[in-house]
Amino acid sequence: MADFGTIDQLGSALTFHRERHAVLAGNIANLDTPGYKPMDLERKDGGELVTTFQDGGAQQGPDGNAVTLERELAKIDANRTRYAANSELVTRQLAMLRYAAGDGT
Amino acid sequence: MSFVLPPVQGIAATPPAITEAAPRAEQGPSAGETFAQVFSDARDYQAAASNAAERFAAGDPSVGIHEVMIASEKASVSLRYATTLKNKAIEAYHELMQTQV
Amino acid sequence: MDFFSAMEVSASGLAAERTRMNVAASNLANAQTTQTAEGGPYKRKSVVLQSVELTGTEKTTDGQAVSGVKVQQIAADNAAPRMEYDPGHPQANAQGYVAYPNVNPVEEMVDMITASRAYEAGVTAMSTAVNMAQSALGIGK
Repeated sequence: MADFGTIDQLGSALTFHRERHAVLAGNIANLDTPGYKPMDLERKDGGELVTTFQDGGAQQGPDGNAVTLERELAKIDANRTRYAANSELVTRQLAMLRYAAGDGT
Repeated sequence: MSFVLPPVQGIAATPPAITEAAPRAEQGPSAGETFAQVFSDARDYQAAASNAAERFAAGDPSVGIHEVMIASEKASVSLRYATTLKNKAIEAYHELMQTQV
Repeated sequence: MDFFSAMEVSASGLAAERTRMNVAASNLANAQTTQTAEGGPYKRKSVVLQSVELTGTEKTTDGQAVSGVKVQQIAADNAAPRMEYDPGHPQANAQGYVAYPNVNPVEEMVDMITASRAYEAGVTAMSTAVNMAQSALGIGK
């Protein structure tokens, strides 16, 4: 009877951010790979559709590599913050449900 | 989520004719049904949590840390809820038994 | 997927950059080596990197594999050696020229610096994955 809907949504957001980190880590690993274009992960349609796409906003270097270190690090940092925030929100939702489940104790 | 008795209804001044069928009010799930559902849910969440924990321990890559943590917390909360309901029901039963008729 | 995939990706980057660092160091150390076992001066080596889909890692929700990196090959640079006029040198040829390796120390230093920077970035990415996993462990506390 307890409504875990919000927690489930937060859980799927956590999954998204975890996968996005893997994709961004791939960009860092390919910092010096010739011809490599950075990838990113995106959520659409209210969190239902997840797509991997090439980052069109990146600039190309002479060997075709288009990864900018600072840009990727900034994305990784923002992504990490969101993951931590979502994680904290889950804990708070659970605290509320636990309180209600114990009828105020 | 609280356990509420249905409101007391007054008796009509003129009883309805015997030939008329008395209208049946909309009824939600009975207390017994609610109980069964809540305990059944708690059992399901418990099973899901154990399953996730076992798969995680075995190194199954499809179970992530937050998946297994959330599953475990859901089981804990639903069990707590079921236990609270059970205690409330027992309390209410005792109160009822002590009511002077 | 959990963070194992992300960490494997980062590890592949660290390994590749360390190879680049070692090769640059080797080039620098042998910048003046006029005689090798195969005869002739030391040939500059370069690392060719290639992005690769790591096996054993989980895919994203839409089925994309995550790409790590690997060293495709360590290629020998076949450019002509640098000739220096030094008739008194034991390896001088008939015209008095000595063949020195085609190593440009400035280029090698730049490679070392970029490899080092990329290595640090990889370490940051891996630490971030660990940090995120620890956030998840704190759920419910």
